[in-house]
Amino acid sequence: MAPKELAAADAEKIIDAVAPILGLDIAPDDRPGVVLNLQIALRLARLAEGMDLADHDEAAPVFEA
Amino acid sequence: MTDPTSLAATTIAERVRSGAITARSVAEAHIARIQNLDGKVGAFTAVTRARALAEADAVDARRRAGAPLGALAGVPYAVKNLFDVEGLPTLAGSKINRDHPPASRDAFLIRKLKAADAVLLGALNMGEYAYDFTGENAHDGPSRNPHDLSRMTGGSSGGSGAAAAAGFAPVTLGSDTNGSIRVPASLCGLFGLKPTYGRLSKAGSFPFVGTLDHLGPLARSTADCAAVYDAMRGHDPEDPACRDLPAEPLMPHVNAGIGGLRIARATGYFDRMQTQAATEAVRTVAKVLGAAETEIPHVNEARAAAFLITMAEGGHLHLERLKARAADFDPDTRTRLMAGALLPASMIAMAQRIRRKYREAVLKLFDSVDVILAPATPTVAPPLGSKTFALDGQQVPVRANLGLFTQPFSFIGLPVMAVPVWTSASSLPIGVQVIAPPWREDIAIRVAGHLESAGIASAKVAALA
Repeated sequence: MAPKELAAADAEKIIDAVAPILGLDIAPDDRPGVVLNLQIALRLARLAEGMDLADHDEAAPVFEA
Repeated sequence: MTDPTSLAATTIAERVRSGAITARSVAEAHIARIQNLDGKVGAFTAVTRARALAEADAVDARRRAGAPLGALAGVPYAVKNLFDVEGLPTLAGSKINRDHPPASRDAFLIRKLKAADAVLLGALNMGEYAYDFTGENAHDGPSRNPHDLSRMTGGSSGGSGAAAAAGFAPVTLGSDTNGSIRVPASLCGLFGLKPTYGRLSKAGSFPFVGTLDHLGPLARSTADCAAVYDAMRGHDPEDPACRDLPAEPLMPHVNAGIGGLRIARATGYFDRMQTQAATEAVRTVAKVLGAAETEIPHVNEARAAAFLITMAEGGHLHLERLKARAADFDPDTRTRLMAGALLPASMIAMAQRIRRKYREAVLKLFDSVDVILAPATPTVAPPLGSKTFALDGQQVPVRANLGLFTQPFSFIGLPVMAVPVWTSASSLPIGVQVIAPPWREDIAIRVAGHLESAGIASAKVAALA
């Protein structure tokens, strides 16, 4: 079961793993702000998961050829 | 003689056309008020004085020659500084864009207003890259609420709210991704129209989240919002989201009344997390309109999904700038965008699927109602610099929560008029959202016009001096 809250230490792990892949250098002074915003995002993602999507519920933007 | 800075746009146009006043005198009066008072307010980042006077003189010359004049003859206006204005760099509230070359031509909507003989006064302050609900800006200073200079205008179209409420321009243009027209309209006591997604061209404006960005007017009356919208209509192939659909003019609907409309106040989510002023405003409006009640399903999930898409798409849009010039961002914007760039893709795929499902659920509601009412903001303008406020007994962040009630409607592109209400709970105004089905701006305008003529919704120029 995925955690309801993202622990600060886990948010730090996301930063350490993903930021270098993107080539994004996050300064030490910015890390607390990024951690906080990742925690907010995860809390909202958990809330969004309450929607109960079915396989045929497609994404909103429709590509037109 | 009436001070032109207190006049409505529609009145100015009428008087300029009839020759009762000149476009030049109107432009000069507004420029003088800006020069005298904007030091206190912080609405403008550039005043295009020479252009304004030249445009006004051209209108006056055409009148003298007996040529026909446009619907907005001599009407002064100003635009959020994410609109391209020929000769100015398009700042979008940032420090970084100051290094951009000046725009080589005006944004589509400015070209439309120019064609209607309106007069551009300048570019307006805004939250950095539109990722903001406060109207504060680390580079240009905050736009201050003209009704109480110690308080926020709301954002991100903060200068747009400040300028119209301060009497610097009867109408301004803003952008609204999650509430950035409706939040400042609410806090500054203005009418604000966010049209249906895809209705007005975004070409020549700096983007934030392409599938959520809308442009529209803020003004001191329903008719002024309608008149400016009418002048800006028209398909533009340069904006891939702009739909080639007929857009009927809104002016004929301003005084059409509410006969036959089924109106309902949104309950549940929209009854919580708000101050007394928000509750009183929406209930007063609902009572006057004889509104029933309706509960919109899945609002929590929808708002969360809008938040995630905004973070991720914003983070991606600015990634190269975050890599190259992180220190030049507003610190409040920087860390949110950085976090957005790091979000897992599955969260965003989920959010886009929620968007479709929520849209279907809300469109179904419109089978039984024509109009939904909801608060525009949870509170009147908070003090400048405040980071949190109390809602339902808990301290919550200002930046994230000022858009609590606007985000669920822009998420699915519905047309909304924010109307200003003055309650017994506060000396400051607060907005109520009038939400209509897609492409039915006319319905939102009818309700706003009715509320205005009933004396329930009203805007005023702040005294300031």
